[in-house]
Amino acid sequence: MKRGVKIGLIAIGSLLALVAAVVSLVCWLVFTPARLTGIVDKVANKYLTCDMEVGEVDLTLFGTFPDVSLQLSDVVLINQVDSASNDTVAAIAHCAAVLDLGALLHDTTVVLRSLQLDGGRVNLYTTADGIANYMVFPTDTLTEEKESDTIALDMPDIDIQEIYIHDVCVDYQDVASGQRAVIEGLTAHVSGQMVEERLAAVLDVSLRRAALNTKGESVMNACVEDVTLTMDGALHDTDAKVGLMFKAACVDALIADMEARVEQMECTFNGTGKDGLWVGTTMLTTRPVAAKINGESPMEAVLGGARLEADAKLHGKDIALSPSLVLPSLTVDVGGERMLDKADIQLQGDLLTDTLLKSVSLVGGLLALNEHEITLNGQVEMPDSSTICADIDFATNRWDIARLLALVPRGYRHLLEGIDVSGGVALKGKGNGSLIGGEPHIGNVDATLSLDGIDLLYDDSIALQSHKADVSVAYNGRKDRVAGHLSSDVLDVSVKGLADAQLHGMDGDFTVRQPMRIVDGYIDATANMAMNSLSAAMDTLEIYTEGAAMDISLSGSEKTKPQFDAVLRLDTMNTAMGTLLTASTGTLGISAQAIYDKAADNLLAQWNPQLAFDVQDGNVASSMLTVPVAIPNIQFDYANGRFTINDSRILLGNSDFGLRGDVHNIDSFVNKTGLLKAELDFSSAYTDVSQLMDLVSGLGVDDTADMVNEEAVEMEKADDDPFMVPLGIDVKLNTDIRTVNVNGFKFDDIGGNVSVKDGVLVLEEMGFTSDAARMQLTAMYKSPRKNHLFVGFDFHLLDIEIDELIHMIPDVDSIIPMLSAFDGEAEFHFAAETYLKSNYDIKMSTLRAAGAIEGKDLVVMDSETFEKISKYLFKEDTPNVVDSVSVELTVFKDEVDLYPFLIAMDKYKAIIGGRHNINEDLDFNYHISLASPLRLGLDIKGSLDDVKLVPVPCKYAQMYNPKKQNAVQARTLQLKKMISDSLKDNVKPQASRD
Amino acid sequence: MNQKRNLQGIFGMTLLLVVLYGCAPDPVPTFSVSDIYGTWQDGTLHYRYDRNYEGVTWDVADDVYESEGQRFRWSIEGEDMEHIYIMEMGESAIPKTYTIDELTPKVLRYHDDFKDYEFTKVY
Repeated sequence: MKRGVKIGLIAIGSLLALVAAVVSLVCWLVFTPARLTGIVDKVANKYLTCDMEVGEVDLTLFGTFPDVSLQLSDVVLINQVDSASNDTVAAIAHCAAVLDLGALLHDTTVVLRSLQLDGGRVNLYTTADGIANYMVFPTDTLTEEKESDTIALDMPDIDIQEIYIHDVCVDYQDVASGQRAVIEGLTAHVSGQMVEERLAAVLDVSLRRAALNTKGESVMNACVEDVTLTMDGALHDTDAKVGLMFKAACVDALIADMEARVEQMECTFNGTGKDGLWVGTTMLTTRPVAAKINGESPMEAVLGGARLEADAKLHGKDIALSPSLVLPSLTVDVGGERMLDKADIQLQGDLLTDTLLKSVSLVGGLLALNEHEITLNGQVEMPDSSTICADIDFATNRWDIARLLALVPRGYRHLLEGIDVSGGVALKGKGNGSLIGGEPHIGNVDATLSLDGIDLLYDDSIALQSHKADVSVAYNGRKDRVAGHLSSDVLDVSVKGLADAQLHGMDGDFTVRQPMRIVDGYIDATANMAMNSLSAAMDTLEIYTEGAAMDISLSGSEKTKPQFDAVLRLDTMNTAMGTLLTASTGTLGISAQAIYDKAADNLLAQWNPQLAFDVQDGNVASSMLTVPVAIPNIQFDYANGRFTINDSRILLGNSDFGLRGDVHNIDSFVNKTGLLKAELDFSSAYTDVSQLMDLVSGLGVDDTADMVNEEAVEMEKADDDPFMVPLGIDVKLNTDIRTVNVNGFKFDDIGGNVSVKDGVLVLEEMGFTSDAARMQLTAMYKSPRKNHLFVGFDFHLLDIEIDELIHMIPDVDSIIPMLSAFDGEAEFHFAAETYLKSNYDIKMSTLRAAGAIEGKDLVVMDSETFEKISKYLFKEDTPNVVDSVSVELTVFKDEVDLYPFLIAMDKYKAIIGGRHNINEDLDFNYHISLASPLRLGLDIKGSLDDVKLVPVPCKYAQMYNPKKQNAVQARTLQLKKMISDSLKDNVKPQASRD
Repeated sequence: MNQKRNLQGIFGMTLLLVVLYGCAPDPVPTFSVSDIYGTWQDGTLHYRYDRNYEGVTWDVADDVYESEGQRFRWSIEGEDMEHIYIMEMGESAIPKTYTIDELTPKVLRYHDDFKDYEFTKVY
């Protein structure tokens, strides 16, 4: 170093040292603490309305050069207001203010560069009248004195670059509002700098504890501990940057009945702005959060923590917000009932909107409760202040139903009692709607509920399994209609001890119109359902169907009555009831209609269902039926409690018949309050009556009913199985039968009525023909008990072959023994009734009968016998016939009274009458009067093995001579005519069948 | 000739007897009709005569009891007793006419052209 330079530097240093020494001397001599204290007091008195005490004032120059630092210790502001417990507004242990020395010296202005408060306490107090103890600046005075410009030192210009507060306590109390806030251990550092349009600011705040209490109607106590708040920001031109971090070790709040506690809360925010694009990121995390609401329904929630992250962008008017909230381990108790138990909740999504909030779009929205998630996408628009429109897509992931139901609070699980279900469910759909003037308007909603692996057990009795099922619902708000689709591959339904069903390939659609009107009792809906197959079992009953299709519609309005229509079609149906019954059908169609009439008495009458059945290719087999039943077709309707068979063809055993007609009074029959009534047209090509009677015998008969006494029971033979007329039914058959078979006898062209009424079988005016005769029969059969069977008949045989008659009815030969002596055609009218034993033996004590036989040109004896005797008795060429026979008889018990009748042959006339008994000996007592050509009387007595012929006077010689007959004979003929006429009167004209 | 007169005499006497017999007055009944009210029995066969001129008959040998008995109408005219059995089905009636031989509170006997009947009263 050159010597000159060295000398120069030493000179400058010495000069500076001299200046410093002079300044120090001046400061030490002029700005002594005592003098500074007086200055401060003077200034304080000038600008403060309260008292101020300052312990010591010191001025520092070199530490803050070129600024000057004013150090104050033990600064106390005192301002006593009414009701305040403390007159100290502030008590600061150490206060330092850094002033701009240049401005102070040149402009005599005070420019505050920084302010430091260290230790102390601030008491802020406002009385009930609104008087605050911290109002210590006389603003009016300031204004006046400024204007007068008489003040040497003006209020300091505040250009604070830094404020530092350390360990200060603040106590704020507002008596009027009942609020009190306390901040303990407040430490804050605020710094800011603006250089050439660059603004930078930093804020660091920490406090040990802060508390806020309010009284009055809304009580609130809040406390936060160990709080740290850091903010920094920078702004230059259009670029900006903001950072914020907030931490609190603990936040407690009590608001009315609500308590909350949050621990270790930490929140950060970082934002940048550049060229109009603002980007911000926020994250809020907490450790355990506890909240509690007291009252009648106390609620308590405990959260393991919370984490909220949100990214936000603002560009022009466009706002993008992506929040994500995670609430782990949330436990909620309401009224002592646990509603959520350590549930994890998550919400997230991307929101796009604008500053006007006219439209909000949600993308990738997620709402999750544990593993149960709902994703949401959509848009909400608010074109005006009274209109909100929304269009939302939603979908869930697969929810495990068992785990979902596990979320049901324990207090509500009784609603699920007995329900054990597993499987998965998922929901997917979309919808739109609007809220206009507070009125909701639903647009279109489409939703699909998918079920898989469903295994449901209810009450240990009803089980349901479904491999896969989907239910879709679409609501069209414009048409006010709900449409849906249901599909299932396999559905197993089981009711323990009652039924099992398996449904394959269910597939169907349904629509519901005006759904909101259901509540008014009206509904407008249609449904179409198809099913590939269905198999079901109920106890021993098994059903299997294929190709099922069903259409259902419900309709109704205020002007029309509610109406239900349904059509069911089955391609095939097979049923089995154990080994008892099997049945199958080809196509089966059922249509149903019901119209609701609320004025009717009961539910059935109110709906009054009308049904129509169409069955093709039906087959029935039963162990109770000795023969199979085939039903090639049957169509019948049900309406107003009445079945109407429109057409049918039934093959029952050997019989082939069709039925048409009505069956009604079913309700009374089922309730056992009345008879099942029916009137049917029975048309048949061939009917096996014996087989049919065996099939229906004993229907409805109670074996223990109507027993007269124990003796009667004993007298019945267990092996006998007589036909028991069904009870509880009133059936009338109008028969039209081509051929009928009764015990091997065939009859043709049978027409008439057959009725069964509560145990009484009546054949009414049955007309038919056989090889033997044209016949007409009215008969009655009753079976009050097995060993007491009533049979009565009014039987007319027209043009009968006598030998066929005897072959057909062998008992006739016993009643009229001489009948077998004739051959040829006759008319036979016979009315009889008797009771029968269980083996159909006649109870002779009950036998009653009346009969009439008329014949003409009857062959009396065989040709050989006739030829032998004719040459002695008759003229030559006399035919072997009697001109006419008219026999009337009555039967009472075993007594057959044969009224005298006339036989005329050639010149011979004989009259025969008498009695014979229907017993083993067939004993008889007859009288024959030969009236022409001789008069001879002959009694024929005895039995068939011991015939006694006794010549006696003619008893009936004049009977057929009206002029000579006596009164008894006349009365006898009257009785004969009465019997004959009464029987013939019952003959009805018989329509011929061509 | 004498034989012819004898025959004419016998015939005349016979005719006279017949005429005299036919002109004889009807026998007067010696019984009270009211005695017939009640139930009569002949072995297993029962008849019950009611005061309204209706009755019921049954035979327990045929496993028929009083409640199942068949109804009839009865009348007594002098010694003549008539039973009219009305058939359950139709209008036909079966008349039976008898001549009463004895009717006492305990015994009922009657007959027709072919048979005699006797009953004792049960109650």
